[in-house]
Amino acid sequence: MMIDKFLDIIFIPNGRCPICKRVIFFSDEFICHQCKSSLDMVGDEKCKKCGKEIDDGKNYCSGCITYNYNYQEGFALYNYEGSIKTIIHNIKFSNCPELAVYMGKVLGKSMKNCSWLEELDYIIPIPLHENRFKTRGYNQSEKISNGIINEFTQMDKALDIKLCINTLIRQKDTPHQLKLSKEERFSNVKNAFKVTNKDVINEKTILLVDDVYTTGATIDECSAKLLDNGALKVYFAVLASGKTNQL
Amino acid sequence: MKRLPLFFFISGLLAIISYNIGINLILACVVFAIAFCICKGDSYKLIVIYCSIIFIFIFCRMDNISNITSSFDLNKNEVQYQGRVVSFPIYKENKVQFVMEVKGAKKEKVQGFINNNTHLLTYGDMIEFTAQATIPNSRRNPGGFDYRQYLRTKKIYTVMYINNDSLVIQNNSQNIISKNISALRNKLTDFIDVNFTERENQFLRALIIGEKGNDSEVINNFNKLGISHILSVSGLHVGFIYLFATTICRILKLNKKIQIYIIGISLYTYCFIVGFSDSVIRASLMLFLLLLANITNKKYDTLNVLCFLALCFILHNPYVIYSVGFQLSYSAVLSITVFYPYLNNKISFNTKYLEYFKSIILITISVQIGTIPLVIYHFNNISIFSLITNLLIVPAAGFIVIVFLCVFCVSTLLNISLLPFLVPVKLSINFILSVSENLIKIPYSYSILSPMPFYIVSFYYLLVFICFGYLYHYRLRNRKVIIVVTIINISIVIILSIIPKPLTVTYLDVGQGDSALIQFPSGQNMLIDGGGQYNYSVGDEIIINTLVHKNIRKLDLVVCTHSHDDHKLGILEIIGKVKIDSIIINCLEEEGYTDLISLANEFNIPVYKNNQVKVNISKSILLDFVYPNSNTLYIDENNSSVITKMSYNDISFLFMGDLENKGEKNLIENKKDISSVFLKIGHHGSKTSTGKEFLSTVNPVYGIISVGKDNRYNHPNQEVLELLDNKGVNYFRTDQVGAIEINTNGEKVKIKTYTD
Repeated sequence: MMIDKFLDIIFIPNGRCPICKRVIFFSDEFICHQCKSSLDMVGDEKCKKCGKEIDDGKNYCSGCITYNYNYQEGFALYNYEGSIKTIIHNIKFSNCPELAVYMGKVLGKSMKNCSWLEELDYIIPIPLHENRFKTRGYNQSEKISNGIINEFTQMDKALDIKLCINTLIRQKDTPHQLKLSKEERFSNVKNAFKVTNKDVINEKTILLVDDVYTTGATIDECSAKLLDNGALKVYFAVLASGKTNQL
Repeated sequence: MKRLPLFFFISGLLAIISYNIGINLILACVVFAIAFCICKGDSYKLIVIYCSIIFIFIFCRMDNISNITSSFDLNKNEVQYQGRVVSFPIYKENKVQFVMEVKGAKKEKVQGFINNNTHLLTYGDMIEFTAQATIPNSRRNPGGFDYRQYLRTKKIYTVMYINNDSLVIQNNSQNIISKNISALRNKLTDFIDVNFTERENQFLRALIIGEKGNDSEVINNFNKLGISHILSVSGLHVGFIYLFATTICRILKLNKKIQIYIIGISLYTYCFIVGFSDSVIRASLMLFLLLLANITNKKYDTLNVLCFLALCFILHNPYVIYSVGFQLSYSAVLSITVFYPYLNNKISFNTKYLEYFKSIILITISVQIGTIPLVIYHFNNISIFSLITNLLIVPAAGFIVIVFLCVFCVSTLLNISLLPFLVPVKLSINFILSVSENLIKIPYSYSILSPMPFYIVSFYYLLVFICFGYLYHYRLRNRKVIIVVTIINISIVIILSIIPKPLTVTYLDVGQGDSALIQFPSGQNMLIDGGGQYNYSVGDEIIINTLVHKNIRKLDLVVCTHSHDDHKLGILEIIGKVKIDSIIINCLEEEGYTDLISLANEFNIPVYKNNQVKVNISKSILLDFVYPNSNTLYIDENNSSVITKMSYNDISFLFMGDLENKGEKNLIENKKDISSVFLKIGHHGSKTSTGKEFLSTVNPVYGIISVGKDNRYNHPNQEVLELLDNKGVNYFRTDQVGAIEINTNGEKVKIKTYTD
């Protein structure tokens, strides 16, 4: 429609940096240069399993030592501290799907060096329950996944990885994990997910995508469900992960 | 590619600037063609094409509008016209002013005035009258108000002074929409008239319906204190209307389409009531687009919306860019968009009340940061208290608007009187008025500033943007930009201080009277006469404005050639308002000087007779008060005028005051060298002055006649003009060309006249 096109020219999704709130004048980026460089990236010393930053020189974080997660390995771009919290809050609660796609692109770009990238067949975003999808209007993980796939197809060696939605669905409308303890989080998501179509994921390697990884309860539960239904391996990628000392 | 509206608006702005500084359209097209070739990628090329189309369109439109003049016969007196009132008339004592559509050669908007009005005009009246059409005055003096340009921003090119007796109101023709809205407006004004006292009334009218010009005292105070924005109806009021309408829609649970209609109609009604001022249209359209963004689930972007609206305005009439309201309204919102969220994000408090005060303070600061150069340019002052006054007054004004409109709506809908609810409104109005009246009395509560030169303004904005951390996206490149701009600025300052300043002589257009301002290259300033009229303060309106505009803080010397009011009154009016070192007059004992001398004594300004002092300006500039000298007898006021001769190498000036033939004879007999390049013709070109012999002795190349339009003395005299023509003197008349500014370096002269 004409009006729609016109509105798209005027109303742009990246008019303002979500972190410092400055106007972005002439850039296609969603975050201003200053704020982007202020984001706390996960350093070189990280857990070989879940990808969290660790600072005690060991190979695995305390969480991965005490509990054997179902997934293979994971990748996190930022430490869940400081400005990234604002961004993730915006992605989830301020109706910014384009920001999620943008962050997905950033995530996809930095995943270039992951050794397991070429094994992947499908990307499955952590699903939202129907009710929450309705109120939010979109699934932020799906938008991040869109960004990742967009980046993967533009790589030097283009990867053929497809997005797979509606195969994994959330059947329980669980409350937010935010204020729960570690044990409560695991029990909260127990049996919250369901696989609708076994054939699609049979013998396939899957990348789960979410916004934040803290205890790993959600991702672990999804991985368990996928592996139970015939998936070969499950990896995950998140925008940010809480450091080991948090929870 | 993002921010297309910003690009489009900038290209529109560039078109206006290029037109003004005289850049050829072909040259601009060449630049665009080069840009088109340099740009990589189709989307960029497309943007260049769009921008060039907008550029060319606005450039042509500027050209088009600047050539439009009145379509009426300007030479004929008292012609019969028919017209329709298309604005809400503003009554001021017994005068009234309004805009009308008049049928002439074509239908044209005309600004109409009636002095000694006895009629009651309303919006939509068909009227028949006789009047003389004139072109509005353009700027006649440095720093003066350009009424022609002001009206041009409203697409008005003609002014008519209507003869009150000839006016006949035929009937009222309005369509149903405007009929209802003007009825609503009448109810509103009646409501204000009935319930409020005179003083409150004027303030409320300005605040609620944007009717200004009733009480210039209040508006002047508000301007000086930097709070005039609350009197310009805009965001606050429209925001309230919007909130009101959306709340009703939400309560009634209306669907989105109906919501758009209801809110659109209520905003349009309000725009109509306040007379479609630039800022209120801007605010309404911004809110309407906000509504559209919410409904279509898109992310509202203030900067783009602002640019888009500004673009629409300049596409409609590029001259709107010169409107003060337009400039301040857009730049204020722009500064809020660019600076406020960043500041707000940086500083945070935990308590709600502090957050509220913080947001008001920060919004005020943001607006001030962005608009200071403009405010100084237009109002010539800034207030140190503006922050405090804003803190006190903005909430009070908001309270008044909200309570008043609520009470008005409820009492008209239910037809009941809600007088007790108006008491807090009255209290707030009196609070605001007394705050502004008391603050203005505090010394140094506001300071007068001259407009900043362009390079300082650009440097200021650059600094502000750096302080706010903009210009950071591509760090290296921007650092280069900053360094280059800084170097350019510093070098401009250095170059300006190295280049020798010229001697500038400005013959001001003070109507019937004399006044000339001389700026010496060494930085001193001298004023010869101050003009003077009985119904109009030449000192305040013309001389002070000129001094502020030219950034002159001190007059080293003021010469009053003789004690007649058309030379002296202006000087009386400026004493105490600008620092004066000394005053020179032609006779200390003369009775006409008692007021001047006593006023000068009050301010400790020494007064000398012209031959008591010897003035040294510089080696190359000679300043001599050649007449009257110690041995000439006092004849009369005119014939004893102080005659000033000033020469700067080859170029010399002679200021004659009102010297007549008798005095001229004495002057010649004095045997002083009075030959000059520029001659201020004596006595406004009266036939009693400028004799043949005298003119041959002076032998001027240029003549200046300082004279009022259609004056009752019939100055300048036809014989004098013929004499000047015969002698081959090239003369300028202030009634024809406005002020005349002459710049000279001692060899060459540059003459600039203020009108046309």
